[in-house]
Amino acid sequence: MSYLEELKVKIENMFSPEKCYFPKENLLSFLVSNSEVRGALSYLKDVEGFKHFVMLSCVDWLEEGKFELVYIVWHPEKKVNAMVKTKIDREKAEFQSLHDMWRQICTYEREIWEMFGVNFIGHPRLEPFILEDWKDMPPMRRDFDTLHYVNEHYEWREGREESYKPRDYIGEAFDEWRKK
Amino acid sequence: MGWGIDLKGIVSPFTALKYLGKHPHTVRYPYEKKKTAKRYRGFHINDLEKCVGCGNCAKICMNETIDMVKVEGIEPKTGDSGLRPKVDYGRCCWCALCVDVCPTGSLKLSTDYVYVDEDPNSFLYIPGLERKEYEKNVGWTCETDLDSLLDLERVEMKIMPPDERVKTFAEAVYGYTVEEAKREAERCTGCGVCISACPDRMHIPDYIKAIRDGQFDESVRIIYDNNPLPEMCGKVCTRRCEFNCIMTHRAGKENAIAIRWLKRFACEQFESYEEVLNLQPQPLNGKKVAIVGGGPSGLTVAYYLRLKGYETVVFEEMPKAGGMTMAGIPKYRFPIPSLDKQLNHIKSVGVEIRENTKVVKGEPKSNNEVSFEKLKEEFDAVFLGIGLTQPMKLGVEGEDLEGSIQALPLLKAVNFGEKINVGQKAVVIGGGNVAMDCVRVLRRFGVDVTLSYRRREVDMPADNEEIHEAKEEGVVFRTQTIPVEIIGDENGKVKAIKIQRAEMVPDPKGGRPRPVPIEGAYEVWECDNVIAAIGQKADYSFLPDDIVEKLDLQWGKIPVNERGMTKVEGIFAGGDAVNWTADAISAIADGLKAVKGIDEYLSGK
Repeated sequence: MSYLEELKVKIENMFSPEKCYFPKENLLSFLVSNSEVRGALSYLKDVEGFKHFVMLSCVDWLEEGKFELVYIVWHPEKKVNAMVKTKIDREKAEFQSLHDMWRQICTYEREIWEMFGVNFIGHPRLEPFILEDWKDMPPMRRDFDTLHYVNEHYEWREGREESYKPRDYIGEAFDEWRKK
Repeated sequence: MGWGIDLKGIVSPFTALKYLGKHPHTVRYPYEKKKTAKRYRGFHINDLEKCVGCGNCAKICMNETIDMVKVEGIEPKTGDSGLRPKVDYGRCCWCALCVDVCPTGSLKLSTDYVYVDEDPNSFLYIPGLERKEYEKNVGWTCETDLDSLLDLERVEMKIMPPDERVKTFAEAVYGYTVEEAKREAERCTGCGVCISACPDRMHIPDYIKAIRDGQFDESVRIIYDNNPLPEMCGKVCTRRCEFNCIMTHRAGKENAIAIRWLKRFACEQFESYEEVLNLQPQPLNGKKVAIVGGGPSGLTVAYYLRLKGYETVVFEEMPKAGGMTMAGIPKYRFPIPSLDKQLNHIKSVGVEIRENTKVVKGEPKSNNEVSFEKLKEEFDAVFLGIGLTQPMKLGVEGEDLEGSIQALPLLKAVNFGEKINVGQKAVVIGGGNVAMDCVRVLRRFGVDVTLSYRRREVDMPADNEEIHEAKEEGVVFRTQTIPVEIIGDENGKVKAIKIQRAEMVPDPKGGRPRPVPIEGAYEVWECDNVIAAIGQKADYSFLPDDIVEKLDLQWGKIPVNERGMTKVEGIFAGGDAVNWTADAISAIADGLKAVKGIDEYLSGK
């Protein structure tokens, strides 16, 4: 039994993870409830030795009405990753800040706050990061209409007047071409 | 402080010498540029030859970065819209979704990402045509199927197992369920490249989209816009659209969107079409059009002209309209109730179909005959959708023996439920779809069938699926064999066939290889029947001689102009007797052309 497989058994005994599986050879992924996130990460960091925090990411499950937060940590000696996921409500998008565990989480949380609008409670510095004067919906939310935004905010460059839809073009132009 | 020699102080500067031949960690001069990451997403590059102009890249782009434009030197052709993408770098955000949906893999991003110019309009360019220097440094690509955002696997169609199939004439293909059809329809990106291959220019992406959205009635309405026999097409169409589907570039022909099955699915959702379509034909305008032959082209003309307000009468020689789709196509592919459903709809809009009525020249001899001259006189226009009804002969000795028959009359007899007279062993000659139908029908009568074809299997004009299924049903394929003589017994019945094996000789002019008989390589196969399925030709004997002359037949086909009119005024033509592709969908396309032509001709436009 490899280290990750052993770890999987331990995690299953200690927490109540859903979908505990190996997406890749050196990666263990599991989904836990909101209250178990800190415990799971703390166990991985302090007991197992996943010392390095790789990244925090967010997935918008629009149809389910959930955001999924994904914490990835790295074990420098065993050379394996672990992925701790949790789902939070999309309507009331907030979660506890974990910046005290690894300092770099600060930046990730700030970015997710800006891009998805997830409020991290206890974060020392939730303020605009990349976007300037942004008043719209957070742009990485899936219901944000990029095309609409782009057309409203950017001009059309000269020289772009010619444009065909292949489907219509085939309907019309093809018969012309067939006659030749 | 002592006066001793500070040995360490003297020596230690020299320890630096040990780094003398080592690679320094500092910046090197002359300055070396660091290499960009291998999968960097920089400027677009496009292989214009490989690109088919499907426009998926332009469609997926969330920033409206890409326009599809005409490019000089690239003409639209079957399977290629002739358009190519043009990129506006004022808007591109290098997300590379355009690359990930490219079905051919022609669009890539290079690792180059620096471009400086005062003129903002120079940030607009057609990859592949301009800035070819980027092509040296390929960055982000979508070469493996895993990277592709396209759903490359077709939803499997369930089909009756071969050992069951050979026992019955029941329909072999089961059709999609609602869930399967929606899943298959979801794969379509709606680019429309398939339309370029359809002779009838059916609105393929639109009716697939309607199926995806669960609006099956809307789908049928879209289909009926230019095809009055969609269920037939949904079952037996030669489906050139699928062979030109953009999915084939990456996933092969077997994984094209199942356009044919989806059309079939939409049509099968309804018991009849009257309510779904709810058509109101225009009131009769007093003009009458006679249609000779009730095949796909004739029915198309009759249906759409009636909708436009013309009185249309179809004269069909056989007991049932449908042409070759009734007489030629076996019922395990296209069942009679399916045809009836469509014929009933055509009749429901007011088309008159006179079955068992033969058009002849001169005076009619019985009630079942009507003279062509009279038609010409009584009707304002005549459409000839006569098809190819005369089977070609092999031209070998012994062809008149009892037991030597033609495929077409055999299929017709089977389809109309007549008794057929075949023995235990048969040899079918030919490699087209008629030959495949013939061998598969014979297998259903328990006949031991051998198929003889003069060229190789890859050269067969028949549909690959048909070839595969015929093999599954136990047909023995003997390719590169040429019939020489049919041998009869003392009673004048077929006893055996003598064939000569052939080898393929490449054509020096670059055409397809020709079969050349090998000297002395004869074989004799015992059999009870020899069935020729080597092609059909049109029968013009019902037309008065002066009209046949005026029609100016070319290689047995009737030439028509762009309105579908022959060289005789008021006589239009279409279908297998006119076009060289000779399939149902081309016949329907011809029919639609003639509908427009007749409408313009009779309304004096």
